[in-house]
Amino acid sequence: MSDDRLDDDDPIRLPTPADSPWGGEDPPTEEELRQAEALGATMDRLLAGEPVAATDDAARAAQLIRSSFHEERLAEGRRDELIQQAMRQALARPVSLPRPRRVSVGSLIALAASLLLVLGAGLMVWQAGPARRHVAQEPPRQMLSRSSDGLMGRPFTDRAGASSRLDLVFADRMNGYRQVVLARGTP
Amino acid sequence: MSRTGGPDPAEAPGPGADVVDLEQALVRRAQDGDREAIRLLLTRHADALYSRIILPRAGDPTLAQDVLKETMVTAIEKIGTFRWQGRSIYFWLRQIAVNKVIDHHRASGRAGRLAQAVAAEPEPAILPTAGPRPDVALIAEEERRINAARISATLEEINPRYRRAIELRLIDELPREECAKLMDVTLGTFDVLFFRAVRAFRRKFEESEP
Amino acid sequence: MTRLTRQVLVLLALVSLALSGCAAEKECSCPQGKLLDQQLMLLLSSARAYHHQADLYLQQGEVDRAVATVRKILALDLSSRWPEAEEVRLDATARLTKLLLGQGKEDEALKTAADGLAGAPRESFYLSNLYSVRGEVLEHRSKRLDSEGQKEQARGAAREAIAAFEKSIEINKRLQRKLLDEGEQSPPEGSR
Repeated sequence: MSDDRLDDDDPIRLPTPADSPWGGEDPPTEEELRQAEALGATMDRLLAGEPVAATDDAARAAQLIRSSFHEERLAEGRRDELIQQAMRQALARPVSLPRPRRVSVGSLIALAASLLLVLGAGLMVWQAGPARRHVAQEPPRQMLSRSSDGLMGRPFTDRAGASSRLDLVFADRMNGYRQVVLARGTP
Repeated sequence: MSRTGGPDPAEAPGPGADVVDLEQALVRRAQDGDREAIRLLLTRHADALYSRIILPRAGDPTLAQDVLKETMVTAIEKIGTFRWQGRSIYFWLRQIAVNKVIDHHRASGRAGRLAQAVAAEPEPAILPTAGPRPDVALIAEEERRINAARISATLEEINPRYRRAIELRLIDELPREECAKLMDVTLGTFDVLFFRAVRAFRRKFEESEP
Repeated sequence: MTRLTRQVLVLLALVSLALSGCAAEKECSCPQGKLLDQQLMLLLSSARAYHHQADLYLQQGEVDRAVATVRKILALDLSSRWPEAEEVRLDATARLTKLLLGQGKEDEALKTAADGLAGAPRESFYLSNLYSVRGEVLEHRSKRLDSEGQKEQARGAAREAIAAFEKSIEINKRLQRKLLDEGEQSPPEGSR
């Protein structure tokens, strides 16, 4: 089918039931019917969320249009896999995702020392007896999400001060959040 | 400045400012060779790069994933050359991603003009109401606008019947049967209309001059 | 010291503290709550920016825009799973209520306050403040009704206003006592 028969600039009106479905255009050939059906099936699969490769120009153009209006995300596993592959390729040796890494001798020594500390602490506590008060079982308070009443300290006297109140809370929580980030290195 | 010497959050100019400050710390660690920092930076931006930058310009999900990986490889290799300029590294990664898409289009030969059209786009404008550090949500909105505008401009130029077929199927994401019903044609006829519509779009899109 | 070593040490320190806690008897004034996270920080950051925007609009006399901006705070995901987010919700509600009252939209102001108070999961100075703001709106209503000659309705509104203020005061008293008990606060000057 030559391009002359497909005049895209011809303002073909929307058809009524009595009109030919092709407006002023030629009816499709067998090949075009086959391609159109294949594109239809491909789009069905894409819209159903299946991972389909757009192997021809029409499918690619359709996907380009669709993804400009609808955000399509990678599966999380696939994203992490691509990141791992990229790191492996760029850094030229296997990279681990969040799994335990090999530890050095120094780390093993530190680990052993820490275990001894824990055992020692446990022994001391046991010896001290049940009457002893102990500190919080959780991370430091400033790293936790919590009420701001303590920060405010007293009932509000200036009810127009929402901005300054939130400034105070935000600054306080930012300090805590920085500690969270430093402690585990994850934003 | 806070007592710790870092930026004082009370003086942060915009909603995204403090997240950007955290990212700066990650970038520094990544440039020092901290792999975990590299991984975190890529994880943070991979989704946006794929769904908002690469896929809407590449069209093919398989190709888009390859481009994403190549983008990340280049970013890791060149992280040492990145200079912090007070805004997210996202913009730097974005440019790498766009260049990779262009390279692929050029390599495919046929789509040289498509590459030009992609290359001519602006990066997200810095929105004046958001201050010098627009937050992620605002950038996302701007990317969506750019993507949609690029397509809409070309759709306006094609036959209205074709445009309707594309809008129903790809933008409204209606099933083929319903599209056919709305256009008052049989399913087979709609398939052909849609096929011709997409072909017309592609031709127009590749012809468009920057 | 490698990163892993640091993490192991922190983890073990926490474990040892936990063991210590377990070995002790019941009483442990452990703080409750989850770790601060990025989502909450972004939320607080956005809310803060909106509040400051509203301040600027008010400074320019653009009350409608200030109202619209404060509404944007309430459109954020202020889920009560974070106490801070719940407090932002209450404070923004109080601010919006006052703005609407300033625009003469008394009914809408009352509804806004009522919606904000409904389902508040716990007591806080923020909640107390919102009750107090509700009291102000009702007080305003009472005065208006009285000036319009609707004496009975005015008395009714006044009673409701008093109840709202009393609720606010009770919450404040309980909270201040609680904070003193927890050692988070020095007694305010002049307190008993």
